Amino acid sequence: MGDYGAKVSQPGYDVLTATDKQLVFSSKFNTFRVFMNGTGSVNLNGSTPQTFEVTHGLGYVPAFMVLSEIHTDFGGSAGNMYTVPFMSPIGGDVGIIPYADATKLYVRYGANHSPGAFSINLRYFIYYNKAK
Amino acid sequence: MGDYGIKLSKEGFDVFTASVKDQAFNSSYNNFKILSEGAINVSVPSSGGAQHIITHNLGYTPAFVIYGELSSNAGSFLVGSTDPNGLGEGFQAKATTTQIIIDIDSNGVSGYTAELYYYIIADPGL
Repeated sequence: MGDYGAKVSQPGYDVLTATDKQLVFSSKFNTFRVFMNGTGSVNLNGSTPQTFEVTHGLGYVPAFMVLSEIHTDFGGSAGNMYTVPFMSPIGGDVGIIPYADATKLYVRYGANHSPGAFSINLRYFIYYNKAK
Repeated sequence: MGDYGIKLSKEGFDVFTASVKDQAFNSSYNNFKILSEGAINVSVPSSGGAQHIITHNLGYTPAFVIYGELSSNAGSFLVGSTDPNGLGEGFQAKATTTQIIIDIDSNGVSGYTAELYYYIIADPGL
């Protein structure tokens, strides 16, 4: 088999001599491919952890990315999305932590992320790529 | 030079009019290119933590992503997380021009095996 495939260089670089990081795309490399994405919301109550769940059913643990609003006490405001995990140095159960198993993606909001009732929005991306 | 390149639209969108967010691929925009990926099991003692080093020798600091299942076996977390189902253990990582260095916390009670999966990206992290 010969040297074949497809690659595209960034503007200003010759595709025949460009290094890997100067390419826009190369079929030599795997990429992150989105299996599903969506939005959700979680109603926090200020006293118990709340977990958002979405079923992917892939049968293996997939890679993922989650963006979430955070409470105004941490500097958040409606519509401003933060990458998570969100961990705070103040201590307590205040973090926002996403994780996945072979059937679901979970986003856990700590019991003390909000001092009281508060609705929070998130967006998730689940990839075909593996996380385990 | 003319207007050239490759673009693919998502299903249901006309490739000639689709906005970038309605495209599956557009060669005008960079893509994350995964240089290497793999699974690693790291034995973590009950105290003192553990460190695992991946040598890449790229000569620049690459972007990377790591997922890990820790002692609770509740699922895989993104690097930077503390396992809320565990005993306070978490894991962190950093990249240099030669290595990815992963530090994993002990749970303070028993040894366990951390099951990690890493991606090293061609695009610079610095």
